Amino acid sequence: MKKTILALLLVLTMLMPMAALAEEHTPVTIEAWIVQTDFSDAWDEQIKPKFEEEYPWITVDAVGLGEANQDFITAKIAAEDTPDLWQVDNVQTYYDAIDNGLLVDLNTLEVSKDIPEAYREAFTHNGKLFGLTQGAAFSVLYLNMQILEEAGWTEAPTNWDEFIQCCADVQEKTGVAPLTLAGDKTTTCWMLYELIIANIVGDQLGLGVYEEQFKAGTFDFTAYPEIAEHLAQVAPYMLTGTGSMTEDDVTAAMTDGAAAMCVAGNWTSNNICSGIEECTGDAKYVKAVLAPFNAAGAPVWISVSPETAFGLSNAPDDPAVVEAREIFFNWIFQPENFKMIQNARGTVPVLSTMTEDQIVLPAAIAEIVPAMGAAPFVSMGFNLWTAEFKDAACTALKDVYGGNKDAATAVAEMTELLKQYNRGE
Amino acid sequence: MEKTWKRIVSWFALALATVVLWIPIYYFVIGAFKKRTDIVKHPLTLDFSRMSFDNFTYAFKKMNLFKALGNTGFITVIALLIVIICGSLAGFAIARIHHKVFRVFYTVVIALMVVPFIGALIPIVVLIHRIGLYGSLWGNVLIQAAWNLPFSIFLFTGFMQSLPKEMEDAAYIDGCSTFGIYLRIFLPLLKPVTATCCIRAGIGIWNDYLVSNSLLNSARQPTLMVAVYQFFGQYVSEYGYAFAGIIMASLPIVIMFLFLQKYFIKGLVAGAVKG
Amino acid sequence: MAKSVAARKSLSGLERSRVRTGLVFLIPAALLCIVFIVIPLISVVVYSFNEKSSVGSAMTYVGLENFKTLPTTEGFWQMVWATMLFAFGSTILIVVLSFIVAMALDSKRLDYISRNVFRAMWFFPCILSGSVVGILWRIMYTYNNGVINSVLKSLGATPVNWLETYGLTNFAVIIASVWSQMGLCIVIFLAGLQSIPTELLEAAAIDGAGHGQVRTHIILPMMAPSITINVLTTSIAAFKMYELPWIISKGLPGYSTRLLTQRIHFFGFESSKFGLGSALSVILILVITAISLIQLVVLRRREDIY
Repeated sequence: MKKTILALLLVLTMLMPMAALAEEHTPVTIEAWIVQTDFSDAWDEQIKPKFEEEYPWITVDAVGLGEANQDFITAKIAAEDTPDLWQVDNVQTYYDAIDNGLLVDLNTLEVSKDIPEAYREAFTHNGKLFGLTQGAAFSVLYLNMQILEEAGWTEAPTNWDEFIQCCADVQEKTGVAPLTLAGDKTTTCWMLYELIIANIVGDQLGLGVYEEQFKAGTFDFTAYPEIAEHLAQVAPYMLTGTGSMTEDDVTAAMTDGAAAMCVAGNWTSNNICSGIEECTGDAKYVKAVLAPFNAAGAPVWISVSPETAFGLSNAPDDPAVVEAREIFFNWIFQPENFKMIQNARGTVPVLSTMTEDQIVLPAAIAEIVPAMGAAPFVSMGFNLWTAEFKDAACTALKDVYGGNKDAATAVAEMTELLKQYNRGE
Repeated sequence: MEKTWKRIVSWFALALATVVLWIPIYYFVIGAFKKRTDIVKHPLTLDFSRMSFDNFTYAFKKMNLFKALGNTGFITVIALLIVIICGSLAGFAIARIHHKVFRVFYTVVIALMVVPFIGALIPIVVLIHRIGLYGSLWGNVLIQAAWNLPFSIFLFTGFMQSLPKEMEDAAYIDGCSTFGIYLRIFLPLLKPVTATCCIRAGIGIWNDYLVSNSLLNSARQPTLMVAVYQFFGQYVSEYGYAFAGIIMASLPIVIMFLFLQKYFIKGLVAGAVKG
Repeated sequence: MAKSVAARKSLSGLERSRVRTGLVFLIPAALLCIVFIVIPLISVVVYSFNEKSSVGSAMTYVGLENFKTLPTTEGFWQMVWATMLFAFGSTILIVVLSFIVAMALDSKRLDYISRNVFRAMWFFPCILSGSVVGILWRIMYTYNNGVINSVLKSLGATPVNWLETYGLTNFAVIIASVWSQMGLCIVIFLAGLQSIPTELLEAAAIDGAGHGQVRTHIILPMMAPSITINVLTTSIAAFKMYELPWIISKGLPGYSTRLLTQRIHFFGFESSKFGLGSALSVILILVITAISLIQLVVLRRREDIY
């Protein structure tokens, strides 16, 4: 069935100039839920017009733009008015949605084969695939090399001791705050901490073990005293206000030269890189590296995650609508269409059908993508935790960043929290 | 002589306090003409060479402004009408007629004033969906009317309790019915408290995001605040667009306020004097 | 005595018809309140005794389990304290400051034009929605580049970490809420002040009463009803508020500015534990109702004393 639709799709694409064919269809309107406002311009100017030109009988409207995405979808589920195209994350709400039959099991769709297995697995719940990801997210350390050079560092630090030494030098010699991150957002708040953990436990436990233990609630943060030590080492070097900064604030801090380095996701690289460039007046001072939180000589561990994914509604509707939403879903994952989203967001796509020339990345990021692909990794926190753990652990972590709490206390609290709030998988 | 001096000092003290109060608004308004980085880096600077109407044209294009304006206007006006009619009728009964039922109802109304909307949001969505009003402006109107009603009943009751009893007695002697008394004697006196209700409830309904976002479909029935919210993204917050959008969305209500302000304060005073 | 009983009897026919009409008057309001507030509220009460996810309609009866679990959830008592501090702190500040400003705006020393212009300006912040005010103040409180710290720096003072200092953040959140809500209180106070008959003040002045005496013996008693309304409505609004403080502080540092309404939102929309959230709603409603009724009784009694 799905294969015939895909075949039909291909035929239609080829026959597109013959508008006569389109007139056989009754016009339908479908809704696409868009979370990331950073491609809302691309949506209006490229994606929507291109699709509607190719499928003149389908109108596709964007709904739910903005920040409160959980609120939006929860209300829509209660009203049985879910959008045709969803944006899903690896959290409870969407597990409930697939369990309740609100989303299509994408395993039946041909196009999901174009997404690598690991990324499909991340969005599989009870054997059902509920989302195809927009791309790969990974954590990055961005550096303003002008400030580092002033502090006597012509090269980026390559391990934890160097990194801490570098922070000390920056603070002492330039007076600039060495490090910042977006503490306001739980993903980035947790990122620094998970990088510390990954580099301490990674080699010892091996790939995937930390995640397993975390999800089962058996991971003990206090069993590795270095975790608290490293956290305590780095906390004093944070820019004041880090715990409450948004990603936008981080961009501003880097643009102002208020901080020398920042830990952030690759998804904000466009903003941060251009911010550092504006600050220093020269692109050569913009540097991005995989965060060197490793012991000297040991490999660098990073944290990665699939980005927010697209899901397909399974809500009963008019057959024409059901057909249209499948057409649109398949259409998005065609490389020439998907590149519009990728180019607008600057994330690293994992769609295997996309070719190199279709992918646009900031130079500093493009440089480290091969290293990223080769590096051992842990999963970012939001793939592993429950809402309760996220909330309580990040609250404790922000207190550490803000200098209100001792690192060891926070780490001990987290062990207790994880025992109580885990996914039990 | 001393009096003039005092006048000037008190004027300047008040003016200074007003300026402090208005710093956020100044910042907000000039921010609407600035780029994102300038808002963050140079918040209070007024540099016309770095300011433009770009944010406004962008926000206008994205917001579907006229449709949103129409929807929000419709919801606000109709909901206010319901609030005022139902509120004044109930207030009259509670304030002027002595019976246990009304006292009980009044206590219940006060208790309903305290219900936090967010806690009941999901049951409300389910309810509106079940009665077939989901996605219709009317569902929004009814929810806004109902949730603004307890407070206006409280206001109307308080106001009508303060009116002298003799007015009614005289009218009864003249053979007026109870409804007639409400209509001819009380209603004309209610202007000030109605103005208060309109301003209090009206601003809330106009600025509503939560109800519209939950009960309406943002593509088919956009409202102003839902349209503004699209500028607060998950990854990048375009403050300039949001500021411009908020200014455009609030303009009608600012104009209305400036227009009604004289009447609004005067009305309140006229009514309160009689209390 | 006998006479008054007779008079009451003759009135009873009229009274009965009045009650009937009154009941008819109540119907529209009662219907709206029952359908759109009471019925959802009943669902909330039912959910509070059940384990229920925010998605789907399946639920299991758990008795009082949710109410027992709540106090053991992370930061619960800190949130209770934060809510009380926010509600009472902002109410007191709003009412006191509004009263002072209303007195200044009512002053006979002001000329006609500046009085009206100032009034409009003081009311103005009210027309912005809670979330807009939240965003505005959050940007202003930012440690680096925030307007407030920029001003402090230019004055030679050290910048303040508004959003990450225990105690100070509570203050920061309250200030934003005061800023956005003073206008309505001022308007109600102004109306109250202008309802004081000028003859009364003139008579007091002739009798040689000083400013302070006029204030305590004439103005304050006459203002008692407006004080009641303002205290009651402001405190209820403060207890129910969630967006404005959330956007500014996200409940930080720790749980020190996290309000119970924000926790209800967390349970309902983030952790998909709607039963737990409903139990918290029920508790919050009971607490606010109790506090409001106490306020009402105390304040009304004061009105009667005067």
